[in-house]
Amino acid sequence: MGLNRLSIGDVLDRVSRKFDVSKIYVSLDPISLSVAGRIHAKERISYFRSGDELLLGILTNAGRSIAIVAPRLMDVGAYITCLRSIVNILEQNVNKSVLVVVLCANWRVFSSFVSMSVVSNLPICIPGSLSSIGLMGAYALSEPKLSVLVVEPGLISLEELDEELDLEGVEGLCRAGGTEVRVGSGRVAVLAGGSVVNMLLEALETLSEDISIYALTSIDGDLRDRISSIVKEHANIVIVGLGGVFEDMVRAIAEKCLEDGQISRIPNITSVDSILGDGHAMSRDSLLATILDILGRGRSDLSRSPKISSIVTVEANEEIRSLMDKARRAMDIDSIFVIRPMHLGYGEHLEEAYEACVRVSSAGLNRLIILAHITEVCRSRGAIEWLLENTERIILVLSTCHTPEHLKRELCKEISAIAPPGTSIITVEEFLPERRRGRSRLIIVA
Amino acid sequence: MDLRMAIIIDEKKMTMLRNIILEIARSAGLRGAVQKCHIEGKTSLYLVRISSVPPKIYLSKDSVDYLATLKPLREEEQEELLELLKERATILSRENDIDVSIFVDKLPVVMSVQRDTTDEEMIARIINDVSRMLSIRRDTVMRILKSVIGEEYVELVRAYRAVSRR
Repeated sequence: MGLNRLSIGDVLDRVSRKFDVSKIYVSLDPISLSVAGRIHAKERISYFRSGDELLLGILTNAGRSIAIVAPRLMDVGAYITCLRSIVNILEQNVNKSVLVVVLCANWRVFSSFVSMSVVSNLPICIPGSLSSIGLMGAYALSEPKLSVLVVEPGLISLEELDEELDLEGVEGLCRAGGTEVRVGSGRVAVLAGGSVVNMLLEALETLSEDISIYALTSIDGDLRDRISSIVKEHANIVIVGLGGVFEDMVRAIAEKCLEDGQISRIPNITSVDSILGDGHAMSRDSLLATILDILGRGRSDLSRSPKISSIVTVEANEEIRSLMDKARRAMDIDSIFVIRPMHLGYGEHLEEAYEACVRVSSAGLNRLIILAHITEVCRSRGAIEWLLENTERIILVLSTCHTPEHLKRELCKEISAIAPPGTSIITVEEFLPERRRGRSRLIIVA
Repeated sequence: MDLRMAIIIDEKKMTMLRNIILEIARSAGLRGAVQKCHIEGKTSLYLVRISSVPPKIYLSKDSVDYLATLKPLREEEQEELLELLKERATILSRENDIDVSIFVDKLPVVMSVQRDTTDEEMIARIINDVSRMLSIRRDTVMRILKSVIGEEYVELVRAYRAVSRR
């Protein structure tokens, strides 16, 4: 079998072709747009701005559909509510297969989405590799229901040269119930989800007699039963890579089992995320050192994760960098703000455009340069309008990377509509730093 | 075969380098994986793994065989990279872009090139090193370069030709 290059976009493209997906809904954000850029059948792609539009699209589409969304931390609750509504509606109107791929740009979004899904009883799947995204996608689209894949940041920026996905075989495997994994025969249960399972499986060579790994690839209605069977079997439970909510949930289930007389004592429950986690990617050594420490097999100084994170960013290109340099020279500025996922290397990186409003109003900033993606105009329209109206001098640089031409034109029209009088909207070529002093508000589409 | 690399480079140049490295791996009949990370949330770091079995990328102490940086690094960033670097690993950088004394405990092979070396020449060196480690012939790499990047980066082809002759 030949080797092929695979990224998450390629996997979704293959899955959509295999199952003849009629519509692919893509959220207006740079991460979703970059993933959708690898999907070939552009005519099937529709863009949406909010959960409501997604809900309407899915319900009106007759065939199978895939939705790709990269929510910000502030949008997580809204999307959970929307997906919950879709699940309820689809339960009454069967024969619709919907796969929603949630791209988590950082661990805070991932952890928040997983925790809120568990709390709101929304069934989700957590893939640990690109091939498992293919596997879970194939399974989801072969059944008439809504499936949500929550993709961790490391998988979004991953590209592999590997054998072609075997979606035929994968489908059979799923039907045979191959999405649950329990490996090892140790007395300590390790509950894990996502790519961290691969690290644990490699570590199992040395720890097979100490730990049993339970890979939670899907979190659904059976979760409580599965956890209570783990609680009954193991007196020590370690939770890895699943967010803080699991620790409380396992404890609550254990207390219920204790009340019912099924177990004699509450197991010792430890979350490795709370020991290691500060938003950085988990290192294999620090994870193992922490587990060995919990097992009482000695303590080492490795339990610090390196300050290397797998957050997903969209890097400013050479053109934007030189534009930012020119803009900095053109006026005295108080601050440079970069709205994530855009990444510049200098300036203050903010999660939301609303944070810039808070900074402006609290610190009295008046001369600003802001770099954001053009889709931020839809996502944080109110904040952008406020910033344009309430600053003395502002240069708003809007990057158009990963944005298709027709969408760019549509968004430019929207920018013209929100720009207050006296705002100039120009392209990079039209920007002349020496003329800058006379203008107070400038939007540059780069 | 299991080669792990860490490359600090900007996104556009990495897109091109990623295509070339994965094509070289394909020519060698090996599998590869590339993942983007950030050191301290700022500097982009690309982890590359080439292996004969499906490679899984994760952070691990003493795992990186080859570190290349096209940018100057701050002391804290170098300390983070030190954790990842294997003993006797290779480091490629421009003069004074890294502080060798930070890495001295790992006994690295430091290839320090002149400050005026262009990015294309640095990339050509990385390509040359990777192809040598994977035992890929120079003419095969030239063919890959021409097919992957076409006429767009004539300077890179020229730089590779010069570097690989040495």
